[in-house]
Amino acid sequence: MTKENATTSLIIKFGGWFQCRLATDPDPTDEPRGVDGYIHAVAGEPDLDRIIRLQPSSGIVQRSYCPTIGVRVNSVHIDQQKIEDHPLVGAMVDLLDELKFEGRNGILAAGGAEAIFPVHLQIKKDTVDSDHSFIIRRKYDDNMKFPPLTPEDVSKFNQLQAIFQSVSPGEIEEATGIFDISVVWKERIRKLKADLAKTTNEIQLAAIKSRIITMSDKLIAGKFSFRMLYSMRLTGGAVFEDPNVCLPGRPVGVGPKDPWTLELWCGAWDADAQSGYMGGYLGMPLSSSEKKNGKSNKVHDARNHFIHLSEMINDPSKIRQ
Amino acid sequence: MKMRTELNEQLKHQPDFDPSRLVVPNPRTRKFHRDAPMTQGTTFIENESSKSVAELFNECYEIALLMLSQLYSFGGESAQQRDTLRQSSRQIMTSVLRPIAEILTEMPATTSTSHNGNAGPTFELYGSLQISTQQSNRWIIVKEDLDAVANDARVLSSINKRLNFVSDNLLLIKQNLEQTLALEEKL
Repeated sequence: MTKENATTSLIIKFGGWFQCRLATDPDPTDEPRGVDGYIHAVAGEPDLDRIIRLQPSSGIVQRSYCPTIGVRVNSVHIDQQKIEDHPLVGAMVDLLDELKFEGRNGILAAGGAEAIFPVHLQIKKDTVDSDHSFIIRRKYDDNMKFPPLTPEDVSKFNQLQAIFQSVSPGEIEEATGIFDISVVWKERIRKLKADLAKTTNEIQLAAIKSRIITMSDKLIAGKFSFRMLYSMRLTGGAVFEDPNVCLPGRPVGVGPKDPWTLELWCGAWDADAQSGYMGGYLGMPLSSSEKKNGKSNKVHDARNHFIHLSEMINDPSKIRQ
Repeated sequence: MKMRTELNEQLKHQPDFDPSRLVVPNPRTRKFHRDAPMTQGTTFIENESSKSVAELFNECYEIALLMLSQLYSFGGESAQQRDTLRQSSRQIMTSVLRPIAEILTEMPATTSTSHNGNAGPTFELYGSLQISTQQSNRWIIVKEDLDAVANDARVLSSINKRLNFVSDNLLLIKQNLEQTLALEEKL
């Protein structure tokens, strides 16, 4: 049977390395070079800016022997079925509008639970045979102001804080292939020392020495095993362009009553690269008028499922009800 | 000593190397202080803009001291309230006092056109530091002071935009105090 208002669930999973060049406590969060914290803009590098960059665009400071930045779609699941070789696999995942970790030395959020703001997710895939790209884009909220100084904005901001922190070397190894960053750093230090012996450039010498000092600190290496988990409902403005019909339908709606869910984790903090790993998924209900061979009841639940999920994200006490 | 050795080593190679900002000796915003009448070895900040920013620093410094006094002179504050006081006083140091101090060290101390040195944080108190014996009054005074300095910082942001960051931080610290107090009332 055909249902005009049938919905299917779409899950897009992604992962990859991001970069965030940020001053750390007790430096104030707008410190441009890094003085008292463990992160520094080394000689020859531009100022720190806290922006979380997911793609190798302008602003990335690629240090030698460090991971390449790039977060991409890993897999696409429709109605809980993984679609092999889906055209969106490899699409670029980005967080627009100069997203930053916001904690302000514990004033806004505790260390390790910093919020990410503003959230404006984009998944984009350029196509060879078309002038138009596939684009999904949505904001967390259209009206929230920063810094949050009203009860409403405080409530919205709190939803953007990390909901959980964990030491997860196993999960991190699964995603990055690295269980112990100190092993990687040992090799990186060896290569940098070789570079040190070859260069006479004073700026490069200072930069390399500073990097080696950072990587010689076991406490800093320990931060690699740490993960911050985020879960949020996207209810702001959305863009959906699918010129080549990669997906079986369009988003059901983009108003506050039709939230999408975004779950992600940030971890594997490589303090030398000023980079970490980000993994997660975007979920949404798609409208679908296709015949579903007797599965119509199941697929029809997708929209309600996302609404229920987002209510729980907004108010975790609902889990116990 | 290690840094001094490094500096001396660098100066051998580069005699004009100057890694610090030229802050005048012992800057102050008042020519006379009741508690510090000696002016020898001190420098009065003549530049009006610099003096205004230095006064803002002192007002924030006083709030930090007020919070620490409240933390250590027990007046019935709950454990959570004391934790908020401890956190807030530390946050004022990192996110308010330090940025203002850095701004000052880039501003001229005098009105002279020749470069006679920069201003700096003065750590002055304009009156005796007093803390109320009544807990409810303590909170009111701290919150009103935070409001006032946040407003002053906003006004002075025309001198240096970084003072907007300072103003936001002061308002957020005040908000944290209010949230802690509201939570206690609910309980």
